[in-house]
Amino acid sequence: MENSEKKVLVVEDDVDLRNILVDGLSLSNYKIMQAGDGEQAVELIVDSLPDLILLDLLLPKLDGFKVLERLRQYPDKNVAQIKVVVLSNLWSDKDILRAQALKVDEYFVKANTNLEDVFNKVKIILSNTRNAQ
Amino acid sequence: MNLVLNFFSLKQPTQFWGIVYDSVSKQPLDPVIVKLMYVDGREVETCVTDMAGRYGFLARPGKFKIYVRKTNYLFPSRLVAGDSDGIYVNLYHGEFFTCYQDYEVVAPNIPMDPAATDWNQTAKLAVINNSPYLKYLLKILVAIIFWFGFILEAIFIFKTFPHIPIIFYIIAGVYLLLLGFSTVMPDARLWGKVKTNIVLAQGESLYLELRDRNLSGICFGKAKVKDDGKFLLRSNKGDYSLFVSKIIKGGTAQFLGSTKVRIGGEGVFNGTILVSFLKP
Repeated sequence: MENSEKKVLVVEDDVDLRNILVDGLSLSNYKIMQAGDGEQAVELIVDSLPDLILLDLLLPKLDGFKVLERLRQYPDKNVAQIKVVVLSNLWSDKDILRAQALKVDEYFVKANTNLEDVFNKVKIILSNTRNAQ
Repeated sequence: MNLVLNFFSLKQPTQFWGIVYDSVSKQPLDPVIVKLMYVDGREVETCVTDMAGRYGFLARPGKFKIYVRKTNYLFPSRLVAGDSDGIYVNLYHGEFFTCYQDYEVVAPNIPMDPAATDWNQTAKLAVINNSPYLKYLLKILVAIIFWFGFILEAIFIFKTFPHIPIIFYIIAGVYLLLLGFSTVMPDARLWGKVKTNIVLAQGESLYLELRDRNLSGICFGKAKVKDDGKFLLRSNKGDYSLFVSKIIKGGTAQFLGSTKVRIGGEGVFNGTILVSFLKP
């Protein structure tokens, strides 16, 4: 599958940061979708079935943990097993363990992360997905 | 001793990080995109503030500008002018500035004006406990008590002279000691340093990563070591493992070793790392 056929959903309520993430991921020719809150994210996940979700945890309407719970409990296996990379400023062991229990593929702390590392991780996860197919 | 002097407002607390904050509520802002830029607009480095609004750069000599961006906030602030607003000092308003020393810490505090209600900021207050106005009032109260006590002590000594009770000698001694320390005590170091015999080739550098001892795989802080061994490594209070790697040409990392470190409430690791003592 070519990059242009891969769909990435960026879920981030801060518009400026979301634009930077979208711009950075667009360079790899992915098809990018955006959501500014958790409810919108869940709708987009079910309707568009992205290959990977870049997810913030502090979100309006429905927080990132709830989005993850709904995702992992979804009856359709294709939805429940979507790859998730968390990008959040929540840093406590409790939050990270909670996200890991919900089977996230990577957890980045925003303030300690170079965004290039996030883009590279997305690229690696999606290329592994491609190889597995 | 610096903590005691800071407590009595005899010395400004060392500012390890710049804080981007709301000019009205004084709450720290996140996530704020902070860019250090050359005069011609080229980007030197970009970082994102943490939940405490913290950021910082180590800059080489040159003329720079800091550019900040956050949804629902405006920069430069029109509500807060000048170098201090009472709670924060060393304020930045978008002007050019010059660094004269090699790898100088660039971390002024940056006020931003709210333009609309920010959901993230409201939600964050439920997660973190931060009361800048309360801290400021407590600081003033402690300073008043300290100097009121000093004046009372002087009056008592004057009134009882020459038969001054021993307790007043002791109290006077403590005051003199604190005031003396406040003038000679050096500030805490802002940066950490790596000492090594490893000779780095052109394009190679040392790289540090802080990882939680209980959560493998999660990076809590990273820093590239500058030519002179200095680094600026920010993270939250806790116990970590510090991994040191050599980045060789092409971006490949060669692991050199790790060590256990502890970060205190100031949120910075400013110790010295001896590469020869690292665990492989």
